[in-house]
Amino acid sequence: MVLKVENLRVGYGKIEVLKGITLEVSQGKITALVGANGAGKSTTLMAISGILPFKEGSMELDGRRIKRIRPDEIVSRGIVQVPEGRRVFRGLTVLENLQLGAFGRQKDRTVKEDIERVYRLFPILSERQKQEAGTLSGGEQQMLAIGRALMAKPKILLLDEPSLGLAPLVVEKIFDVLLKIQAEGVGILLVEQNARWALEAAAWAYVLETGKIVLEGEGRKLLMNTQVRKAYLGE
Amino acid sequence: MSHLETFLQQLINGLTIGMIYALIALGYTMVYGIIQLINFAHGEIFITGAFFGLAVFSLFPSLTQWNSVFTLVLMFCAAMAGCGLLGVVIERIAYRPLRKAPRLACLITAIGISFILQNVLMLIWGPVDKSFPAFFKHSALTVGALRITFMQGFIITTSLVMMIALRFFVTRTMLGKALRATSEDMTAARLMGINVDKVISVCFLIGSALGGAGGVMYGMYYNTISFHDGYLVGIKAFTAAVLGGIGNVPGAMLGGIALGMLEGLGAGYLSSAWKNVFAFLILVILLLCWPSGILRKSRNE
Ligand SMILES: Nc1ncnc2c1ncn2[C@@H]1O[C@H](COP(=O)(O)OP(=O)(O)O)[C@@H](O)[C@H]1O
Ligand SMILES: [Mg+2]
Repeated sequence: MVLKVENLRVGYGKIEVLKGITLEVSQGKITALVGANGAGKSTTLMAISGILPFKEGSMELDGRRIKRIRPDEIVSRGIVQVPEGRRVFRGLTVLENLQLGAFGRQKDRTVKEDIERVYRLFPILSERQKQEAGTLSGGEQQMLAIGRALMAKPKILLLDEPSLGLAPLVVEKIFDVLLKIQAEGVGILLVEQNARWALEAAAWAYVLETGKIVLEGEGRKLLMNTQVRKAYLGE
Repeated sequence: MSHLETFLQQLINGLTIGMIYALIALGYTMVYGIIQLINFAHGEIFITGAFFGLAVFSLFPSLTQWNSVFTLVLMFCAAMAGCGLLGVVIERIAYRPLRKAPRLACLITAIGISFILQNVLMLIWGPVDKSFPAFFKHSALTVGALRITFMQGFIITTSLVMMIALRFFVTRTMLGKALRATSEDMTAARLMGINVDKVISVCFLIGSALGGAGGVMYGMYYNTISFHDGYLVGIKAFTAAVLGGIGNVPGAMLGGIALGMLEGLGAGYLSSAWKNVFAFLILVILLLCWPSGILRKSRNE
C-alpha cells in the first residue's frame, strides 16, 4: 500500500499551520518526517488520521483518492497512529488497551493471537496485562501505545515522537521493535525531533520547517547534509 | 418503635429513594464523563419516564386487570425505551452540532432543552399533579416494628440489578470499554478506530434509559407526578453525582444512596418539610469547599 498526501493545507481556525505538504509513505519502508518543535509534524499526522480537516489538498491510497472520511474509516483502511505523548487509556488495563486497538475488528477470531504477538514483541506488557495503563512507566506506556496500534493490523503506522522523554536503553528497544514491524511489511511514517536514528533507518525522509517541506531525500543522504546536521543533530 | 428501629426504618426509606437518585445520577455522570456537559435536560428526561409509564398504564386500562408485574414490566420498557430514544435524539440535534462550541453554549442549550421538555410535558399531561398507580404497596415484610413494603423491595432490587448490569456493560463489553476510553481521551479513542459519535449516542441511550426507569420508580413511590418534578429531583440527583465525583460511575451510585439516606434520616429526625433543603445544602457546601477538586477530577476523567 502507498499513502500519498498532496498539497496538504491544515490550520487551526484562521492560523494556517501546514502550507501545502506533499509526501509519500509505502508499506514495508520507514519514512521519516523531521523538524523542529512547532513545525507541524503532529498536525500532519492528525490530518492524515482524519482528526483535523484538510483546508486543501488530497490524500490517496494506492492511487485512489479518499475524501473526508472518518478517523475510524482511516483506521479500518490500515492507517493507524501512535500519538505523541502515548495517550494510552490510563484507567483501563493493559489488556483492555490492546483489545481497544482491535475495536474495528472485534469479530475477527485472530484478535487473541494478535495480543499474543504483541506480548512477544513486548514481554513486559504480558506481565502487566491486568494492571491499569496509568501505572506503567513511560517506556512501558510507549510500548503499550505501539502494541495497541498494532492490534488494528496497520499497513501503515504513523508514529509521533516515540522516543520522547525515554531513556536511551528503552528507546533502543523500541526502535528494534520498529525494525521488526517494518520487516513484517508494515510501512512506518516516523516523526522525530531526535532525528539521527530516524534518518539512519529511513528509506526516504522529509524535513519540515514551519509548515513546509524544505528538504527531502534518502535518509542517509540527509544525514550527511550540513544544513540538517546543524539544525537537527546539534552539530 | 425503639430508637434503633426508627433509625433503621428511616434508613430503608432513604435507601429506596436513594436508589432512584442513584439511577438518575448515573445519567448526569455518564454524560459529563464523556462530553463534559452538565445535561440539565436530564431531570426532565427522568420525569418524562414517569409520564411514559403512566401513559402505558392509562392507554390500556385492561392492563390493570392483569398481573401487575406484567404491567410494571411494560411500563418500565416503555419508559426506558422512550427516554433512551429521547436522550439520543436530544444529543443528536441539540448537543452534537455544538461539540466544538464553547462549553457555555452547550450549557445554555441544555437549559433551553430542559424548559422545552417541561413545557411539552405540561401541554400533553396538563399542569396539575397526576396520580400514579400504586404497586405492591400494601404487602410488606415486617420485622418487629420495621416495615419494608414490597414496593420498596422492588425498587431497591430492580435498581441494584440495573446498576450491576451497567457495571457489567462498562467493564466487560467492548462497547463499554470504548465508552470508558472515550471518556478518558476522545481523540485517542478516535485514533483507535472507535466511532465516538456512536459511543456518545450509546452513553445518552443508557443514561436516559436509567433515568426513565428512575421516573417510573419515582411515580410508584410517591404516587403523584407533575411536569415540574424533574427539576427538583434532577438537582438532587445532580448533587448525588457531584457528591460521588462527577464523571465517576460507582461514585454516582454511592452518592445517590448516601443522599437518599441523609434525606431519609433528616425527614425522620427533623422534619419532612426540611428534606429538600439537605440536597441543596450539600450541593452548596460541596461547590463552596471543593469546586476545584471536583473540576480537577472531571478534567482527568
Ligand atoms: N490545537 C491547536 N490550536 C492552535 N494551534 C495549534 C494547535 N495545535 C498546534 N498548534 C500550532 O500549530 C503549530 C504546529 O504544531 P504541531 O503540529 O504540534 O508541531 P510539531 O508536532 O511539529 O511540534 C504550532 O505552532 C502550534 O502552536
Ligand atoms: Mg508534535
